Amino acid sequence: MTSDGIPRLRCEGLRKCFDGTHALHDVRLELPSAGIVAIIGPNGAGKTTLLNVLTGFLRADAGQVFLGDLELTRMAPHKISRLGIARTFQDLRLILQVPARENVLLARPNQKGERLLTALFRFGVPQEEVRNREEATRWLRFVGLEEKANEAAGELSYGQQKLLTLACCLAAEGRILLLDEPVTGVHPEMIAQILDMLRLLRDQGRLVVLVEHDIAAVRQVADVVIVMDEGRIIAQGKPSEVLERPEIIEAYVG
Amino acid sequence: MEYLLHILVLGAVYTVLTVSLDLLAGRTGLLSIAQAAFYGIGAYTSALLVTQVEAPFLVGLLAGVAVAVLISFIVSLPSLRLHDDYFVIATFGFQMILFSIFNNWIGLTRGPMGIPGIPQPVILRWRVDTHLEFLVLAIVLACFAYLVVWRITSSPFGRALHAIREDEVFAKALGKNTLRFKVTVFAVSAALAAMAGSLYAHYITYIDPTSFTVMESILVISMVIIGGAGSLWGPLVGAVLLVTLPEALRFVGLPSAVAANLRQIIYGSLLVIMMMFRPRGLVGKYGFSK
Amino acid sequence: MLQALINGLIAGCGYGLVAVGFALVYAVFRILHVANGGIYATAAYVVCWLTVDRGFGAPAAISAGILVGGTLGWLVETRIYRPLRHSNSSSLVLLIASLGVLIVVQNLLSLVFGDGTRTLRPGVVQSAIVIGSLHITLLQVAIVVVSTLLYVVTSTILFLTRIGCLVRAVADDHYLATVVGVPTDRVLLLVMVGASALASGAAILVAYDTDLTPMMGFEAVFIGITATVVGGMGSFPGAWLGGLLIGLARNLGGWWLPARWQDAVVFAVLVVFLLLRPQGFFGKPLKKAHL
Repeated sequence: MTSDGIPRLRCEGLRKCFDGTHALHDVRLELPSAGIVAIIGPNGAGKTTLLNVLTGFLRADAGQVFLGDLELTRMAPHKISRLGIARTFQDLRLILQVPARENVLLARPNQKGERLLTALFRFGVPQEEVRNREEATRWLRFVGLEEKANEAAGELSYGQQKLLTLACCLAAEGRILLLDEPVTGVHPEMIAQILDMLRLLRDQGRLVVLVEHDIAAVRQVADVVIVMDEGRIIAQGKPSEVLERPEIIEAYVG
Repeated sequence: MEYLLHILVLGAVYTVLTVSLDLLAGRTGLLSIAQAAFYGIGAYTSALLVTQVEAPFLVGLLAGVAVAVLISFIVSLPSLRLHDDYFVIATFGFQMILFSIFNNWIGLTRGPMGIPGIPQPVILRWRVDTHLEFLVLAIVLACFAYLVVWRITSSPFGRALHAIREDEVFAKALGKNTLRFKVTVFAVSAALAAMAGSLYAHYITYIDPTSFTVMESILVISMVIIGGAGSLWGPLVGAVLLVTLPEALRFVGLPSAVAANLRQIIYGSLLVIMMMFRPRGLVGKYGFSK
Repeated sequence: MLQALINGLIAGCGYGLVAVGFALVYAVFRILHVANGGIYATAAYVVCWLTVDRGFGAPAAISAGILVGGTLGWLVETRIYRPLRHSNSSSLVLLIASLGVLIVVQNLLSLVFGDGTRTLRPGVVQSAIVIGSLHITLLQVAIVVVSTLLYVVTSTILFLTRIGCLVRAVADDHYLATVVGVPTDRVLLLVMVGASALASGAAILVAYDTDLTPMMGFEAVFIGITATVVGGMGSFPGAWLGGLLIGLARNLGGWWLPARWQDAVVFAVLVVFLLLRPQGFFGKPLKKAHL
C-alpha cells in the first residue's frame, strides 16, 4: 500500500518456462497507482506472458502477484477481473455475431440477471438492464462507437473492434487497464484518437498499462516505459531517458 | 387416431429432451452424451416411488428431478474444470455406468425385467387416462420446458452462456465465473431430461433399461443437431422429425430388425450430411466454427 | 485368479493397440475419432466373413481386413475430415460427423451380417500350453507377440524416422507445420490410414481372442477413450499401458464381481482417473481455454 491509499499492482520473482525456454525470468515490477505505463520489447520478450500471469490466465512457475496486500497469484482470472483489473487480448477477443452493444453489456459487472433464479423470475432485472444499457451507451460514446452500437461486432473495422474491446474494459469498471497492443495495426488517424482516450482515462485516475510495438505512440503517451527482453526487465523510466539509450535501441534492432 | 396421438405424445416427450440438450450443447457449447442417463434417472425414480410407496405423480416427478440434479453435480464439478473434451468423455463414461446400474442392479431396478405397472398420473383430481389427456399433459410439460429455457436464454444469464460458447476466455476476462454457469446449466438440463423421463414412464407404464442406452443419448443429439442447435424452433423440429421418421419407415413394410438398423443408418447419415453441408441444422442460427 | 490375470494381460495387449491407434489420432488431429470404432469392427467382420463363410486362408483374409480398414480410413479423412477442416469447422463438428460415421458403419455391419455373435476361433487350432492350473493357448501367445511387435514398430516409426518427425511436427501445430512447408494434409492422411490399419490389426487380434458382436465398434471406442485418458492423452506408452490396465481391470473385475458388471468396472476406472488424475499416467493435462 502506498501514500495515496490506492492498492498497487506488483509482482516479484515471476518465473515461467515453456518447454525449456524462459518466458519470464525473475520479473519484479511495481506499477504506479495511476498513469500510463508502456511495456515494450522484441517479440518473445515475455510481455504478453507477463500480462497473462498478472491477470490469472497463466500460472507462473514461481513468484507472486499482489494488488496492494491482496495476493493474486493463484486467483482465477474472473476473480481478478472483478477486482477492477480489465484486459484486452492480442488476438482481439469479442463475440462477433452479436451487436457491439451486447458485447459491452456483457462486460457489466455484478448482474443480478446472471443468477439462475433471478433469470427465471426476473426480480429487478429489467431495471438493472436499463441501467446497464445506459452505462454501455456511455462507454460506446466515449470510444466513439455510439452509431455502431447495433452493428454486429464482426462487421466493425479492425480499429473499431479495438475500440470496442476498450469500451468493454471500461464498462467492466476496470480501474487498471491492461491493453495488449491497443494501436498496432490501426489506421494512423484512429491512433491519435485512441491515445487521446488513454490520456483522458489516466487523468480520470486510472492506470493504463499497454504492451506495444508502436514506439512512436509510446513516446507520445507513456509516463513510464518498461523494456523487456528475453523474459527480463532491462530498463524502466521516463520515455525520454529510456528510449534514447543505445542498449535499448540495440535490443530492438540487434 | 390413437396412433396419431401416440406419435404426438412421443414428439412432446422428445421435445422436452431435445430442449434440455439444446440448452446445454446448443446454447452453451457443452456436448453431453448423458441425456439418456438423466432421462432414465427421472423415469426410474418416478416409477419406483409411484409403484413402491404409492407417491402421487407430481411427487414422483419432482423427486426424479431432484435426484437428477444432485447426480449432475457429481458429474459436472470434477469434469468441467478440465478441457471440454474431458467433459464429453466424462458424460460418456457416466452414461455407460448408469446404464450398467439400470441393467445390473437387479435389487433396485429389476434389471432387464424392468418395472411394469406404472399407474396413470393423477394430478390433484384429474386422472389422466386417455391418450388425448396425456397429450395435453405432455404439451403442458413441453411448454414448461420451453418456457424455462427461453427465460434463461433471453436473460443476462443467457447472454453469458452464449459468450461462454463463443469465447470462454473473453467471458472470464469480463469477470464471468464460467464454471458456475456451466454447472448450473448442466443441472437444469438434467432436471428437464428427468422430467421427460417421468412423463415417459407414466405414459408407457413399463420401463426397462433398453430405453436409456447410449444410442438414446445419440438420438437426442441427432435431434438437436438436425433441428438446429441454439435456435428457438430447432429442438421441436428435430424432435418431431426424428420421431415420425421411424414410423414412416414402418409403413414401407420392412422387417423390424432391418427397420431398426435402417433408422440408425439414416440418423447417422443425417448427422454427417448436416455437419458437412448445413451445420446450423434445418432452422438453426449458429453453426460451430472455430 | 492368476488365470484371470493372464487373460487380462492378453486382452490388454489387444486393447493397448486399440488405444495407441486412438491416441495417435487424437494427438495429431485433436479430435476424438470415434469413427475408428467403425473401421475396427469392419476389419474384424471382413476377416470373419472371408475365413468362416468363404473359406479363405487366414493370411489372405487378414491382409484383406487391414486393407479394407485402411481404405475406410482414407475415405473418412479425404471425404469428411479434410473438407470440414478446410471449412474451419470446430472440433465439435468433426466429432459429431465422426459419430455419424460410426453409427452408419455399425448398423451396416449389423444389417449385412446380422446381430448375432460370431466367432473366429473354430477356424484356428487351439493347442495350449499348460503350466500348473494356467491355460494359455498358442493363439493367445501369438496375440501378445504380434500386438507388442506392432506397438514397437509404430513407436519406432514415430520417434526414430523422418516421417515420424514430420508427424510429430504436424501434431504440435498444424498451421505452423504448413507454414514451414510440411505437406500437412498428406501427413494427416498418412496418419489416418496408419491408425486405421493399426485399429484393423487390433480388431483382428481381439476378434481371435473373444467373439465378434455388432456393438464391438462401440466397445472399442469406449476402451480406446478410457485407455487414452488413463494413460494420458498424447502419450503412446501411456495409451499402451492404459490398454493393459483396462484388460486387467476388466478380467479381474469379471473374476471378482459378476460378469455383467465388467463394463461398469472399466468405466469406474475412467471416472476415477478423470477425478483424481486427469492427465493419466504420463500425459500433460489438457489445458483449459488455450490462449
